[in-house]
Amino acid sequence: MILCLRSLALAATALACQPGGGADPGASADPDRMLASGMTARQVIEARALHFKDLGGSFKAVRDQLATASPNPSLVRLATQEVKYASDDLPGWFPAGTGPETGVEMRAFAEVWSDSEGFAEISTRFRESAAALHATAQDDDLDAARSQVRAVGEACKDCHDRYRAEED
Amino acid sequence: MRVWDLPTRAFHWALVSMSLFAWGSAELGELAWHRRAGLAILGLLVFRLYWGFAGSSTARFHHFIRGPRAVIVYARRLHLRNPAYHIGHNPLSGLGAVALLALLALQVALGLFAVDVDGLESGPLSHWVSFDVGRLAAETHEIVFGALAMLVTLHVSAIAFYAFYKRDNLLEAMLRGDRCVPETRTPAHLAPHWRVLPGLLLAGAAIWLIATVLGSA
Repeated sequence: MILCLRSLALAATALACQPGGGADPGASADPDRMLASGMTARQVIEARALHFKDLGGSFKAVRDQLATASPNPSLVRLATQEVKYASDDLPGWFPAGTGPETGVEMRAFAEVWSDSEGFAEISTRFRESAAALHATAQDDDLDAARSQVRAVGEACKDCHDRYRAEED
Repeated sequence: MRVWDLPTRAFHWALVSMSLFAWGSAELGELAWHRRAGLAILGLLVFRLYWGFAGSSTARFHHFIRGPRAVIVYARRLHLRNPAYHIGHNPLSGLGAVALLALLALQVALGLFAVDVDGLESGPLSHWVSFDVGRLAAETHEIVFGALAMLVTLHVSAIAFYAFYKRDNLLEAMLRGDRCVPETRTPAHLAPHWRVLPGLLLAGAAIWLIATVLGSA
């Protein structure tokens, strides 16, 4: 139930901040400037961090279930759905004007925006692999899910290596 | 005169190498190796706990866990340059050993439940806890690492202090097991070799339990 509500919230925010969102990149670095989505850059950045934290939790839920000898199929379906929804929304978490130029503390590199093609490509890989993962879960094919979870993990890691700073 | 028996020395140096390996593998992001190192340290600690009750006299906890008075008395004489010729730990180093072992045990326990921020890497028992608890474990793991690093620095500095200020070579004692002490000292009571076996079995059982039965590694 909690998971479902979280998906709704994720979907709602994704609608609120579509990529680009009409904001003019680099027009102002003021983090409290209102973006076209009706949120300030600071709010978007904070929401983004929360989205990623939720995604981390959902991905842990998938991995925890698949690590057990007899995973609960409905939990796997639910958790892979969470990851899938997040992967659909992810490009919307990075509207123009919410990068490091705002001065807000973040681990995202400016390359997310300057290399938008590369970022789009890698987030597509995440979206497709997450959709495939959810499909295996819907088929209750746990072996396929176990191998697909690795593909999703690879996509996550590749993106982090390219577009995210190391932790302090 | 024999001060440290072979199992205690083997434990000590295995712990040193495994800790360095765990540190290095974590820094390099080789988390699969980091988990293995952590489990190895867990096994070593289980063995040391057992050896603290069943080992040679100098390895036993009741031999080197001393009251605060003994520690204070010893600490007051620390500046004297003549070696005190303890067979095994002195009251202060006994305290340090307990602190190191306890902190390492805490560090291993935290690592078992730790989860990284992406939910991609996690300790072998992390599926028993929520993401938030796993994150808390990971953050505390980081803090305890700092404390351990400080304690190890203190430990190595103390060895250097004894070597250069007191002219007392403790490193050699931990390498070869022997130390020159006046003949009047009561020698350490050495445990028979076979007594290592139950400790190894216990350590192996602990690793097996966590890696396969309870864990997901």
